[in-house]
Amino acid sequence: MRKVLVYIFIISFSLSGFTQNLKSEYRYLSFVKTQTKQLIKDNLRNAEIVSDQLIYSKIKNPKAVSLFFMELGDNYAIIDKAEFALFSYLRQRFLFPNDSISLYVEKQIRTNALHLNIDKQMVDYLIQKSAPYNLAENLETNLNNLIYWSSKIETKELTTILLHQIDLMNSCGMSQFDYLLKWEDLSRIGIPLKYKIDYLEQDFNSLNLKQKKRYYKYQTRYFLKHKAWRSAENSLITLNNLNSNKTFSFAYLKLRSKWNF
Amino acid sequence: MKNSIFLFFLLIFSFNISAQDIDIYSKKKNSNYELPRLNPQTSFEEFQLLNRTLRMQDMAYAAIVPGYVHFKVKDPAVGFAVLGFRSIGYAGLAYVIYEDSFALQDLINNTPPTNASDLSSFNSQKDITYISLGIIVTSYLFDWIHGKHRLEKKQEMIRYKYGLKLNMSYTPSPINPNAAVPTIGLHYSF
Repeated sequence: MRKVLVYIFIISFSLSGFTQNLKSEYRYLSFVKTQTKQLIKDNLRNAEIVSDQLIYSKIKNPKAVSLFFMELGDNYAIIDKAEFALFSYLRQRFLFPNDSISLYVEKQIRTNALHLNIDKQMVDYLIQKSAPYNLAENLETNLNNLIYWSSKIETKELTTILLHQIDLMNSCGMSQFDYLLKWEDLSRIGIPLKYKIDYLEQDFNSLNLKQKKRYYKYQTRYFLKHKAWRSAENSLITLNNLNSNKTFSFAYLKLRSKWNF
Repeated sequence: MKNSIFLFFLLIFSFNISAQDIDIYSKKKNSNYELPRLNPQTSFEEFQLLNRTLRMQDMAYAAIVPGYVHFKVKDPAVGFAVLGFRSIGYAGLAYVIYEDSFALQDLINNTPPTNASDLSSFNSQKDITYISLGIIVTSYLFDWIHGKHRLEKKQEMIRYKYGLKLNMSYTPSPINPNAAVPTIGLHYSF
């Protein structure tokens, strides 16, 4: 009996702590929206911590959380971070659907998409795929869809946040679609955005020699950066087999691999 | 003579008050032993900024280390700019000293030596000396005054943010759970 009482206390305390966090964070977001941009920028790190808690914890009030994500999107929109604003609105639509704010969020998605030069067809897709009738029952599928569709509007800064979301998914024991695994691999090794689409659309074996060489070069750099010397060496051997004309960058990578720096 | 003795005694007394800290303000409490009650979201950088104050000692340090105050308030970009700017000043002075055509004292006092053959050379070196000294002094003042302003602004923002959030967590929820409308529906998942 005592144990049960202790558990009840612990749960009630954790619940109150959680709701306080969401409540104060939501109120603060809506309050600083009308003030200086510096206050908004200063707060976004905290808001992102709370948003991660909200997504990956089981305890939630979906209606309040949906309002929180809407406010977060508005805050990002004010400081001209359209890609983050879109990601926040998509988080709201994919994970915490709320019909009351649906029209407003849709309008905001269209406005922010204009800043990023996203074509109308893609915006329609985003809105349609995140509509309540297209959502799955489980969080894992919705998260996969969220990251998949967010990767379509990806920018260099947004990639970091999406990779962070994948890390959180892995830590919660969730898996990703094949496409996302491929996207994650390319993003982690740091293939630039303009080349990424070629790798995503084609099978690796059907890539031309130049693309393959580029892939292994970035992979080697990634391994060297993270001091994975053995993996870097293996990657360099593959690159060596592909490379007929040895370039200066290849020699530099070889030197780094040999001297471990 | 009387005055100087009086001043001497005054100085001795003032040092006695804050003997362990070369400062006109004595430190009232030892914050090293205090464990702060932080908001769980406070980052280490925010904590460091809240802990830092600019004291008289820092004024002296800032005179020696260029950009010291900006590095202390975590504005490294401005700190490096101040460092670069001050280096230009030092380089100008070093050039004048290395050139060794005229004494630095003469250049500062604007007194060309009587046997000076080339007055234009003296004037140009004098300008370099003045500009270099100007750069050193203004970079120091900028570092101190702007750095202090930045620290105060950053601390205000941190206090405002967490203070307001603490109060907001006690206000009623934006969504009233009692206002729910009773509904009935069918749900099927597969």
